[in-house]
Amino acid sequence: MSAKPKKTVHKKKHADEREPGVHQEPVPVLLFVILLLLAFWGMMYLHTNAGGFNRYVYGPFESYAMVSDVQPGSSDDPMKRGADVYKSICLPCHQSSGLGAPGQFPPLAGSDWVNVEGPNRMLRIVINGLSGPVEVNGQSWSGAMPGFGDLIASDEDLAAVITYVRNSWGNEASVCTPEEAALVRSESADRGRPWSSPELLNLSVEVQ
Amino acid sequence: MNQGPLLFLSVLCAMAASWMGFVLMPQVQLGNQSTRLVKEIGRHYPAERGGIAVKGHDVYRAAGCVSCHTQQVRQSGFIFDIVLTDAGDFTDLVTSLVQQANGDLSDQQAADIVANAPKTILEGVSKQTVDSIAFLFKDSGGKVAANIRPTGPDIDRGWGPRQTVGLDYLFDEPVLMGSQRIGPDLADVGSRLADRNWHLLHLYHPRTVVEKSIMPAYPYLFETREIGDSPSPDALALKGEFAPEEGMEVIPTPEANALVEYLLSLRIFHPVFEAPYIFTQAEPSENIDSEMEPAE
Ligand code: HEC
Ligand code: HEC
Repeated sequence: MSAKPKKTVHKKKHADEREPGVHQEPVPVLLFVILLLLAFWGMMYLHTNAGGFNRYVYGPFESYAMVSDVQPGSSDDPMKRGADVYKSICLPCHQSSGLGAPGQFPPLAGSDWVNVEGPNRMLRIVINGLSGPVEVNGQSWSGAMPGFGDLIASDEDLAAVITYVRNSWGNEASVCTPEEAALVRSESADRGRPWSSPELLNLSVEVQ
Repeated sequence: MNQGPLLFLSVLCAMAASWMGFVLMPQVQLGNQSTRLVKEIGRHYPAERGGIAVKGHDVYRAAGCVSCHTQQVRQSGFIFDIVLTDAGDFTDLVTSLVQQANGDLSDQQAADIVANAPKTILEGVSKQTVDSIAFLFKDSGGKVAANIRPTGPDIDRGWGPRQTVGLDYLFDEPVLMGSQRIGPDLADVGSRLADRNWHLLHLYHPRTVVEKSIMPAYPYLFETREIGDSPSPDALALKGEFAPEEGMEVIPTPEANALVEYLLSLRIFHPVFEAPYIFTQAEPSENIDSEMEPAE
């Protein structure tokens, strides 16, 4: 390279007079408006297409209610449906006689937890479990029952098993509806740990 | 001018936002799932892979099968078949309602349906039609059920009865969903092709079983050796141009057996809550499992 710069370079200098730098051009307001609109559109898109971020909702279904609504066999007899669920989940512990196992699993047949006006407490026991000392028909038990809310994903199955237990082995109590099951399930969504007997006794027996 | 902190902050925000969107939110939404009771099969689902199928997953991964095969069945919609499950006591009324529901039925056909319930009245209708027909039959004594049927190109191809959902991958580590479909989807291949000999031949050389297959052969999963005192019962039944030389036989290696075991474990043949469908076919015969007990 020669040490002498060409003249033309000097001539052009006026074009570069402004040194490049930051903070000199204000960001156009329009850009902000466009970005905000995009963000808004994105949120609306998620709102309409994300199925409420529910883990049970995959496209083409749009909401949990819709998935629930199209479940096969939803017009089945709840007692039959409940018996199926009972057999696969509760039976190993509470036995097919509903009498449980002495010293380990309390009875459901004739239980004063089961034969009450509403299914509220029982729903909670099945969804989140029950642990610590508990008195059943005057006898005390101290065990732990895990929650089955995840295992029994359908509200109809959940309601059916409650209905089944509340109306078998001589038990006589009201039917539990899928709506009640759904309501209690949503109320206990963030609980994540088993109930204790005193906590449950503080709650009403009916679903409210 | 020191732009360091500002730069740091904006990079942090960008990273945090994408971490929240791509990691945290999906974890909150789909994480913490556990196996679930599936009434239709009376078992918990999914079952953890056992035996050599666990190793088969690694062989599948190492062989690069995922570059040509997906394991995700998609579903674009759903339709219903309407079935008269119980005709009730008022057969004349129900017969006329059946005809009202499906105008194409002659008097005789409608009467047949009512006499032989449960019978299908209408096929492939939308949810709205289902609701209006359910309303029609309300208080008539007749009972109708709507059987849901998933639809979509993948389902038409016979790649699975329903779409795959998060639960299906619970025990996959890592999940091998794949993104390219040079070959068919394999999410349900264990139901579709339940014959382990077919799979072994196909892996040894795809053209032994699929005439114009473009899938590569995996001869290194097999050992060609001299026949000892008597032919091995495990030797592949190869014919024609694929047969080994006289006095030689082709034996699957443990890797090949593990891979096939894994392929047979890929099954989504029953409904789950989030992907419902009417489960009719029986579970693929149990002998698949017993036949495949690892011979260790
Ligand atoms: C793993 C064994 C186990 C399973 C499975 C199980 N339970 Fe329990 N259940 C127990 C134990 C243990 C207790 C007592 C808990 C305590 O002492 O705090 C209990 C208590 C109960 C109670 C309250 C006490 C009583 O006897 O009335 C009800 C109601 C109940 N279970 C219902 C069910 C239902 C319904 C199912 C099926 C969905 C079920 N359980 C499944 C172990 C089990
Ligand atoms: C180069 C792409 C490619 C790779 C890599 C590949 N495949 Fe394939 N595969 C195909 C094609 C194309 C077909 C369809 C033709 C056939 O059936 O052979 C197929 C078919 C199949 C089938 C039959 C599926 C059906 O429904 O008919 C199975 C099983 C299979 N492959 C398994 C595997 C396994 C296991 C591996 C890894 C060891 C693998 N493939 C690697 C392309 C590939």
